[in-house]
Amino acid sequence: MTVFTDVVCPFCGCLCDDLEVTVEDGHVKGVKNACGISRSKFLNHEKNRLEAPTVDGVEVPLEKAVDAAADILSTSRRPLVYGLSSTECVAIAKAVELAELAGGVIDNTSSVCHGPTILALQQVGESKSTLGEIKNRADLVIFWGSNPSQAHLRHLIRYSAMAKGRFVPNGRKDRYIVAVDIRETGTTRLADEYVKVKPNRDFELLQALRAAVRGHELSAESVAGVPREKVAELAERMKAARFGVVFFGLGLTQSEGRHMNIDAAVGLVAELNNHTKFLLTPMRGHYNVGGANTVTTWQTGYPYAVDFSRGYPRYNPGEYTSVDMLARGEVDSALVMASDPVSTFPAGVVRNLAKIPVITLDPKVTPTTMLSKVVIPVATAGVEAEGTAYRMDGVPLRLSKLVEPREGVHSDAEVLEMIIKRMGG
Amino acid sequence: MKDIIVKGGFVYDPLSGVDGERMDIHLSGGKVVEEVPERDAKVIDAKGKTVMPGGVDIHSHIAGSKINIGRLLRPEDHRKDPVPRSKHTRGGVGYSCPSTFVTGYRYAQMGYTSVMEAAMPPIGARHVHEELNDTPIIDKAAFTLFGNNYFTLKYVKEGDKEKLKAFIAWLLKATKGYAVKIVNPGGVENWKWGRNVDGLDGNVEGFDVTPRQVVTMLAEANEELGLPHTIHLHCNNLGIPGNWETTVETMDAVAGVKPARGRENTIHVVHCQFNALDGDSWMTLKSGAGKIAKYVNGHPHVTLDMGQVIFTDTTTMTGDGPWQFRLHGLTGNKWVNSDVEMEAGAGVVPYTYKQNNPANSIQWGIGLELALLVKDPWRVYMTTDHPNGGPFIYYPKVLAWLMSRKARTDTMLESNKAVMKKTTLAGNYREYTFNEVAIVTRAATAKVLGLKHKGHLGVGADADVSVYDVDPSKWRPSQYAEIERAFRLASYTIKGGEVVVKDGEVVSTPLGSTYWVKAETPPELEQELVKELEADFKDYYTVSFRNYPVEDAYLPTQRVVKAQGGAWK
Amino acid sequence: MDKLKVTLVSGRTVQQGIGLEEGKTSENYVKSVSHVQLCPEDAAKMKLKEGDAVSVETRHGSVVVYWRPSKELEGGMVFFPYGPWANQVYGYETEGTGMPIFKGIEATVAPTRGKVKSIEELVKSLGGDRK
Repeated sequence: MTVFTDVVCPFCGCLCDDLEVTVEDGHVKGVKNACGISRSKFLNHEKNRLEAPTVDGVEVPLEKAVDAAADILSTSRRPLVYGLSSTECVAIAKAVELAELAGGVIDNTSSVCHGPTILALQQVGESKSTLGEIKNRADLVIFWGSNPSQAHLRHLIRYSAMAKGRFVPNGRKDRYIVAVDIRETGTTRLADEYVKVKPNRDFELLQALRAAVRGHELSAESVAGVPREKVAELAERMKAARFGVVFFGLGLTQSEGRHMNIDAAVGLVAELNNHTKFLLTPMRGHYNVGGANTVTTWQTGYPYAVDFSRGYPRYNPGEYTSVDMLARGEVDSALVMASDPVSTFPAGVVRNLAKIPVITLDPKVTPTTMLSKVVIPVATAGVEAEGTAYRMDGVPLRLSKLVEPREGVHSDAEVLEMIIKRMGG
Repeated sequence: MKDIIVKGGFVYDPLSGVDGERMDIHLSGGKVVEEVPERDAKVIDAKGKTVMPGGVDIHSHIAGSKINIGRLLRPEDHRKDPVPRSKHTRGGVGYSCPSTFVTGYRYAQMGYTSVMEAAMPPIGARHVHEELNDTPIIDKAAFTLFGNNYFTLKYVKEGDKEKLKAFIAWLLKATKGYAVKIVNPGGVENWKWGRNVDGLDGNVEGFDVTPRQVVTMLAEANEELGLPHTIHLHCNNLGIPGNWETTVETMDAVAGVKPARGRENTIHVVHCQFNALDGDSWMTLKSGAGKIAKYVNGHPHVTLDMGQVIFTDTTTMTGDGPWQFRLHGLTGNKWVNSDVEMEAGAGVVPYTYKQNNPANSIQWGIGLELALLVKDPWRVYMTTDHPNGGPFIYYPKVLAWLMSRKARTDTMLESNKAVMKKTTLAGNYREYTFNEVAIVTRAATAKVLGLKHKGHLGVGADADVSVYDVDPSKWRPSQYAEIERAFRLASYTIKGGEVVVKDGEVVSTPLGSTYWVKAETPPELEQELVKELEADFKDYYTVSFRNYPVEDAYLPTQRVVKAQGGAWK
Repeated sequence: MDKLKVTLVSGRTVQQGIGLEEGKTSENYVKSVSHVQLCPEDAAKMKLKEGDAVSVETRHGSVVVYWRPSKELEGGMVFFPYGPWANQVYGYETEGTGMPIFKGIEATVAPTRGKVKSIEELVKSLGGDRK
């Protein structure tokens, strides 16, 4: 029996690295310090696994599946490589290499998640920090369109609300928490203040706050359903904070306005920097979507939706983003790794995905594998394969290999390398 | 790997005392050797060409979270300069924030074979090394940030130099770093409350120490450890007119520090141009280069690099968080700020240097003035602080300005007249020789970095050689365009005994080595230090102590340089 | 009254997270994403009983799912856990951003006698049954 300590959890952008995992006879038997979802990942990692490589639903040896994948991509005119967020960085780098070799497009899940945050950054920037700064200094924490009580379970105790820090010795008592959302959630309930905003009206509220911070008096009686006095009060509270932070999530990126919502948030925070210290941090979902963006950016210059059809990287969200390409019926083959687009894309584009040959690498059975022509089982990164993952704030940590994958199951990186070699790369 | 003879070129190897002599260079087994038999060797005809050791860039931002934020921020910069893939090379993007593959290719195409990443935040060291592993051809190292580190400030406050030395040794090992980098000491810590320091004797909040104390103790610790390079310092008050005074004060603060064995220098001031501003506002801006040069000429303990401005659109990125916010305020340009817990900060802001802008033209003049007024070429090095002053692909242009008064005059005539009125550049007739160019781009930088096998072509040196298509015996300074052409795309670049660039094209892309520095610490002291670090990690960091040091997996090709070592109390 | 006009919002839940890590075909996962959450008053308006199915319709499509009460929601707001059932009713227009809208869209909810598809049936209806 081995007890692994300081294990990095491969689930969400929190990338907690204090887990304790017990392994016996090559199987994970117990896990400590993990949230409920993390426990499920470790304790259930052997459940619902893909049994063997398949082509058209028929079990084949791995080489045959690799051959089939290579053939599909080599003869394809507009291949799409998609996913990347739930695996480690060497695999991501291999995916970029594969997309370049195939002359196709590489995209990752930020396309339908925090892509708008990136678009906003490219327009106006972002003022952020690593999570330790919040833990040590933040006396005002605002969650906007984000619900860590359901999606980032240990964020509050490790980094933002309950955590004790250098200048926040009493943890929760030294912080004032505001939650801005369209509905009540576990996060709004634990907050000191819940600001209810009308759906799709965050942009107005952010801009109004910015105006109030700048000293303008609002003429409207209410903004986005929030009374004028409350807006002024919130602006004052933000200005008076010693160190404030806005954590924002899909409430801003996935509602109307998308990147303009983030643009407004960035502008508000930049304005506040004229008065006090203020930051904002996107709550990244998948544990290595940060890595997907980071690796793709350093290798190609661009974070997602990168086209290689001309032999050099090109970037144009809306044109090379997966949902748009699939909607237009432009893609004629796809390789999916470390994600499940059949579950996460709107049905209209899934129907188009179903019409083309799809190659999927995944540890488990998913709706995407059920729809794929070629399916290759792979090792679970962070449990059966090591590598790097980037936390929501950009901090890179090393994922562990705690157990061996089943016989015949390779890592994402190894499988991609096989396909690349078969394609002559 | 075949032996190589680089035959008949004009060789500039200042460290070996070779100044334009026509001679052959023999390479075998990745090293320079006395002689190899010609019949088994690949012969490279360098007749009529200039031969130098491979370039060694002492300060550039090429790998890590800061430059990657720059890449992310600037798709519009990339679109200007897409780089298609080829038989031997991956595709990518260039200009001010090049992708990693292109960074390696383009440096190699200019005949550079070693590049130092200027600033590595410790908690992000893994990221730096991952990017360096994707930067082909060149050898590299990264400088670890120390100047606003919680533990540095703590030990300075406690006056515990031995502990500080132990910490430096420990952190260099944990991050696989090469040198002690300091950026706006104290200022970046204050920026974590939205504030700054106003000079060397300002107050570092929460620690009640001054930047002067931080710089002095780090310099002393650095020299006592006998680290191969001195402290590498970005001074306080960068970008503020009148800051030349702070810069001279800073240099003087360490005048009394005893250098390590075998050297006289104790401080390297980076991208000095940005810290050589005189006047008291942007309206009354003038050059402080003369005052800086006067001090440097009279004090052998100082080295510096230029930080030359190029008139183009580029991307500023430094660890100086408050300065970057200030620049955002001055320009209104998009701004990314990135504070790093317990350690450092960073900021990225696009910026355009315009020829018709008086301040920019003065800044352009200052960088060159520094190189021309500092008499000893072994103490002033050619950089643009890529990409802050301009993209590294413009290095050949800087060389042209250094080597040719006409090149400077031609640019001056196109620029705002302020450069002629507010700097002494117009009246400076000095022109760098090929030998001096070799010094400020290779020999001196390798020497001051303590890279014993770089920057020269003596027997035993690494077989890193550049061949440039310009005949120094026929060249005249009026032909500065030839310098730009020749140094932009080398005839040959040889790295570790392998031809990697031929006629300006990349023909091979081996992975270079990553250098880092190992300093020994007395075991009991190290144990004591580790206990203290563990306790503070638990309370204040958000990663576990055990997960912090960079694993060997991140340095597939590493070369360790041992610190000289010294006495401990 | 049968059909209710609502605002639809999708998001993650802990149950969905636990389920998906077990596997997307696991009972836990399927249960966590094949239902909508309604405020009790809206459910009462539609005379819904436990175990009933409802039809959720937007201009992009419709889907039959189970329902659960949630006291966190106020009248007119419906929470639909993110997953393949929810994606039946979201559209793919991104207006050049790459991002469809998954929150705050107009929908109607009505009781139905329709059956909630199994995950296999759902995937098949999307055109895939390669297994």
